[in-house]
Amino acid sequence: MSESTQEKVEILLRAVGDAPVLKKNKFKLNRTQKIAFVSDFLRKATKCEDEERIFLYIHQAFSPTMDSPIGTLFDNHASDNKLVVHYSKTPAWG
Amino acid sequence: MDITWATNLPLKITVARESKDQNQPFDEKIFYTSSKLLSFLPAAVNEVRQFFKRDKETPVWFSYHGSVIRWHLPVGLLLDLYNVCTDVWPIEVNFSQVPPEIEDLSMSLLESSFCMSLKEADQIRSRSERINLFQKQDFKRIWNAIMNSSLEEWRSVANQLLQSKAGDFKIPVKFHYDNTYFQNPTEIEDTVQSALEKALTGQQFSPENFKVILLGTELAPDMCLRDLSDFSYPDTFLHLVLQRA
Repeated sequence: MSESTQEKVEILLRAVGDAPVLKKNKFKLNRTQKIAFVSDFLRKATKCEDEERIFLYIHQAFSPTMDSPIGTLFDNHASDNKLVVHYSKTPAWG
Repeated sequence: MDITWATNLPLKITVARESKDQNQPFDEKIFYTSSKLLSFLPAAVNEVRQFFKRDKETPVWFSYHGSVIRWHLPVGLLLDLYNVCTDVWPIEVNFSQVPPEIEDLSMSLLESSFCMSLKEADQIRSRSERINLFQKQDFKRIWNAIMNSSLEEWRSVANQLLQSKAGDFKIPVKFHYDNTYFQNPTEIEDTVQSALEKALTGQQFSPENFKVILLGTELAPDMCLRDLSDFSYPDTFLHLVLQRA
């Protein structure tokens, strides 16, 4: 069940393949923020070139659409009170 | 269901004022085309570029009454989302950098976005148990079925995902509103009303303020989600739209 829209939720970022591992990989983000924010952050943090893409995965199964609110992804897909997002510079799971 | 697959929506496309080029006489013309309700607007990009004499590098995106159209969603869903009540959907084409709120979707990116949505739905339905058995050609077949509007072909592949089994069987449902969507896990016995209440838990919106729309029809609150699952979109999500009551 979701908390109030003001609440923050914990997100854990995990590198896949040769994507750079971040020094800090746990963040608390606003529920209303879109997952596109995480994608933009990762592009900068992993020094993506313009033509490079970053791929995000939930449950190591699917990529969320960029308009997905972080709180909604958390409510549907978190485990142990954390939303685990894998990231990769090449397609990892299809 | 069969009717939805066959329905063509006429589109009337004009060039947005900001994108008009005085040296392009065609920019004052109107381009008429059509899209299947279950297809996607990026599929029209090539013919739009061709008609308005733009090269294939020119970025393209669409707007309706000045709002950026969220074109990764199927056209039928967009009609509900923007509450389009006309027989022909008048939209504008923009030839400028794609705005940050949508993705620049080539046909191959659109296809992969669709496949991801299919996977997301199955993660909810079966924890990806069934989609994990899909081969590359199954994804290709299901995508081609949409591009060719073949319900029969779609069914022959999608039935592997949809066959219900005993035990927990969740219905993947999203409630779209404005530029976002609400979603919370639903159970098989949920109604439109109870699923909406779950989806809006903790949001600043109250379920009483909305009516729930599916392909132009307002749904009765006590309808069982299970009975609506035949009206899922091709990605096997039940995409419902909230409109202000």
